[in-house]
Amino acid sequence: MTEYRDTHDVTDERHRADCAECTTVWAELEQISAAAAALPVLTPSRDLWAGIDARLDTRVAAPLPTRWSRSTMLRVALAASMLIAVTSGITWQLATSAADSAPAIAAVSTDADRAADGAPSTIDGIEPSVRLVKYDEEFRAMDTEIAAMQRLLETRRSTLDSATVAVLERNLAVIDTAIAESRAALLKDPASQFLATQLSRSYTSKLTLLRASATMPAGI
Amino acid sequence: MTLPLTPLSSTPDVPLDDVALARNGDRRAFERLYRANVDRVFSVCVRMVGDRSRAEELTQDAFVRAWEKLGTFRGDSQFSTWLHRLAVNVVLNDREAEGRRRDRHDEGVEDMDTIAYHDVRPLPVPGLSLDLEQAIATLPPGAKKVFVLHDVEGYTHEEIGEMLGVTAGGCKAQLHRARMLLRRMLS
Repeated sequence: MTEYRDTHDVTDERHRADCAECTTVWAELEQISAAAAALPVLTPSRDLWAGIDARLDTRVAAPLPTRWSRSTMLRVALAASMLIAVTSGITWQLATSAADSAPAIAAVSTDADRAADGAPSTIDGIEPSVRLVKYDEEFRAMDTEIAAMQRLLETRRSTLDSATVAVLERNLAVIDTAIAESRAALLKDPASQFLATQLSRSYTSKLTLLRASATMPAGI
Repeated sequence: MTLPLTPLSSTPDVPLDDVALARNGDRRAFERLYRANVDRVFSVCVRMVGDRSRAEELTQDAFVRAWEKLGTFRGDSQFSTWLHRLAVNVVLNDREAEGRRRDRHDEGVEDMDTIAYHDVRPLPVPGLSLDLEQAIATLPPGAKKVFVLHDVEGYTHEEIGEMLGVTAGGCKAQLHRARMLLRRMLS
């Protein structure tokens, strides 16, 4: 076997092209790899939960969010909204530029808004609305987490300082505006990596802010 | 369009509400996360250690560790992916500790010829799936780790190299060695 390995490099595709033996070996290795990927999920012989539950600390498992103070949350809110405000300007410029330079393709009459904006009907043969649907699919999970955080926040709203809530809502409004603008810009230029990143950042900012506020100690 | 980001997500059967609730100390939510993920966590544990009893202990360790670390989960990946990676680290840390005691020539790729191919005996029972499980269990620990993480669990060479502290090239060599050993055992 050692001698075989010294004279045959099974991993060398060019060598395999001239060596039937190594081609066979390689096929067997691929078969093993495929079988490994298809191995079933295994189940423990007993329920392990009781042993886990007994070891869980009764404290809140999320030390990070509970450490958010009012001042920290406000700094996050300010930073998030400033970032969004600055970059949304770039988004607007890009969106305008994309609209100006878009190829002259007939607008789709079934989408009045898009037609009114002068958006192209297709890019690379794919409808922008289809691209946005794909985009929405990728953000659906984040929307779910945001919704969960908003529900948590609603349950705690009465325990928070009214001034804090006001600041929070103002900054969330800025971020929501940025999200709406980025989505609109993406509809015009679905291929823009910048706009996709921009939208991702807006979502992340919103989520960070919601997490901070939803887990902030009561009374601040 | 392929977006340059990974959305905050989780497996379809793991509501994100549960992640958020568990992060805030809700044990019932964490139990639901446990029930949705325990089999996959146990699977990687048992295949990496080759011992069901020890794998069950490590699975418990992984979930306790996950509870302690939930505050650091930021949603950059799916919850199940985060948990799985955490479980792998629990196993690797455990094996590193055990390796220092009982298997001093397991780590890295320098010991690739410690077990010669002609020393490997074919398994007696036919039937690829069952045989493959048995064969994986008999692999040398270093080769087993790389094979399970790459071929069974789908991690990349770069990810495995980061976990094990070896280069991607060393990982590829170890994987090839594992596959050749398995071929010999299964032939």
